[in-house]
Amino acid sequence: MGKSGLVSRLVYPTRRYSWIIMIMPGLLVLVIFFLVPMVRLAQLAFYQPDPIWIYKPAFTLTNFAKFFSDPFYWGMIFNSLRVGLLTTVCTLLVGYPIAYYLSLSRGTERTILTAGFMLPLFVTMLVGTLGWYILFLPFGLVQRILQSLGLVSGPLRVLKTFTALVVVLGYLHLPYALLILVSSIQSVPREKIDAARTLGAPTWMIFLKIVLPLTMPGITSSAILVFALSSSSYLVPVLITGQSIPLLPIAIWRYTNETLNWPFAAANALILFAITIVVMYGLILLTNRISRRGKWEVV
Amino acid sequence: MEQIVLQLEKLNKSFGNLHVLKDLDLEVAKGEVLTLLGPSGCGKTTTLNLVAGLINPDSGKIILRGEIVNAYSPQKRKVGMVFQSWALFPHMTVYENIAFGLKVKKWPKSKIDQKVREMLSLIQLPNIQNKFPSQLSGGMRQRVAFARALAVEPDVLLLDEPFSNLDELLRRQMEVETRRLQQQIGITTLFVTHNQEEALVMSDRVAVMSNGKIVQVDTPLKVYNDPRTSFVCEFLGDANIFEGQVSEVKASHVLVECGGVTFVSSRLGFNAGEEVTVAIRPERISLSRDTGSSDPANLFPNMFPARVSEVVYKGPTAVYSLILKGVHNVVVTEQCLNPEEIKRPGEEVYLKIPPDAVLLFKKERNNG
Repeated sequence: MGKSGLVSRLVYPTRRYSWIIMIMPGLLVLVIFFLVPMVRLAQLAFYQPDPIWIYKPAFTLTNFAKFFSDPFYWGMIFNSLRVGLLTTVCTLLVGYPIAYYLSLSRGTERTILTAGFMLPLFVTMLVGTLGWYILFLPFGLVQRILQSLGLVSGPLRVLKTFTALVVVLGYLHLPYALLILVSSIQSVPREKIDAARTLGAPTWMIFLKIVLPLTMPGITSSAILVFALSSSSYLVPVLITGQSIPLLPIAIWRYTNETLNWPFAAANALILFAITIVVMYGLILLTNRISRRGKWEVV
Repeated sequence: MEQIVLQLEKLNKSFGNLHVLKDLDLEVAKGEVLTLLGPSGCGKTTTLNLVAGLINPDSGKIILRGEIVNAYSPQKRKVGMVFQSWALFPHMTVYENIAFGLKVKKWPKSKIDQKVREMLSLIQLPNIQNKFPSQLSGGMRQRVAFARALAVEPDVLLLDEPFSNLDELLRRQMEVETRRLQQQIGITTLFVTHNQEEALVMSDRVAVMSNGKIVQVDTPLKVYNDPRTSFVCEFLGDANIFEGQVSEVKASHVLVECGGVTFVSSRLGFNAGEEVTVAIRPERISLSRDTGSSDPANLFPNMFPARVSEVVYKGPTAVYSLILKGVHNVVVTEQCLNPEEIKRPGEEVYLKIPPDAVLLFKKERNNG
């Protein structure tokens, strides 16, 4: 190519070290705004809490000991896991058929449907959650509908329940799952499905044996995203369930801002972080095993 | 009378405003390879998809083994299909790909094993059953797709340009091998291609399509040497085309006047004064440096002096461009057996064209 200088390095990224230039801006942002605070957080989790200085830089494991010796905190882990996993499963179960339909639809229908399902993305999470809050209020719309159908009587207790939390989290995170799933389903070539049809496979079998395995990477990534977002969600549980269900993100907030026990808050944050990573990794392992990923490549 | 396995009757298909198939009729006999040949957009792949049941016709009948199958889903039609992309299932091994259709039919495991082994030895790749498609070369993938389609023992095999993703050399190899395989099994095959050479190599009969209609169905020999229209002639191989007018009709031949050159043609059925298109294949014209005889009565009927303007040497053959009567450009392909025989640019030579090589077509009204 016979060219040199910064510009040609950017234009011809095949040059040996030019990739450094391409990833530098992103890397810099990650290091400054993610890695440094995370290291600091990890440090803090092993410091002693101090009533005057907030923390004392002396190594200790008491924060973790306190956490793991109390069944209340174990319950919190369980709750957070339950919220995350249940929301993920529900979002995927609802989202996959929608994504499938969207990937088949064309023209105006597709535009309208896509816009409709992506709506939660354009409304701030606070407003979206408040909408549900109003619906779920005792004697609110949900109750009135159920009551008119004769299904319930007396004040309905939806608002503070676990179910309500999962519904709202699922609704708010559905667009993310859809975006990934639609593109994943669309990348399954039409000819592969046609081939299966000429080989005699009924529709359910084509779905189970061809479409599902080929869209597994999309399912995995949307599951990871929904799990990470919903298990770490703070705003939604605060508004929907309040203090009635102890969750890690709410606890972290309270230790940071109310009791000012920063080291313990850091320990909680680190544990939530670890849980998320373990679940993600487990999910990847599981789906890779099911779809035998890594052995084959798309052709 | 040969048994007809597949019959298409007055098939029509439109996509929106586009009328893709117009009253298409076709019959495929048991065990033969019939090729649908035509330029892209002529409706050949649409025809194949209609037979497979992947799309439905607007009107007309699809008859498989004497039974109207219009209402049948692709699953029930007993056709095997090899796609242009081969459409292998990338997450399944070669074994699982070939066994897929058999598992659908709930064959017992031992029978499936046996069939897969049989198929793999048929395509001469006995040791690849545990490989994934991504680990195979293009030619191997194509053969696996073939084996997968054949494993279910279909009544008709549909091939949708299965060689177009292969490089030139491999493609020729696969054409011959696929033809051998087909003859070995004797499966009725409907083959779609836009490649004329492929069509000639692979087929028992070639159906040349244009604009949603079949223009001619004949053996490769006939469609090439005796094309019915100038479209068929030009689509299958090269041809020198001249526009002319029939000047004289005799019992055994006609004379055609084309811009100062009069060709003698043994094609009959034309009237004096009729406007015609003349087509002459480049390999049917020979070049010589002398007239061959001094007696005017013994002279070759179509012999014209011409000047060589360009020579392209291709090894076994040479392609010449010549100027005839100062106006017509004529292309001639000749074998090069002797280097002395190769003409040079600027040389004055004689063109000799046998009267049966002068093909005549009635003027087409712009439907090529």
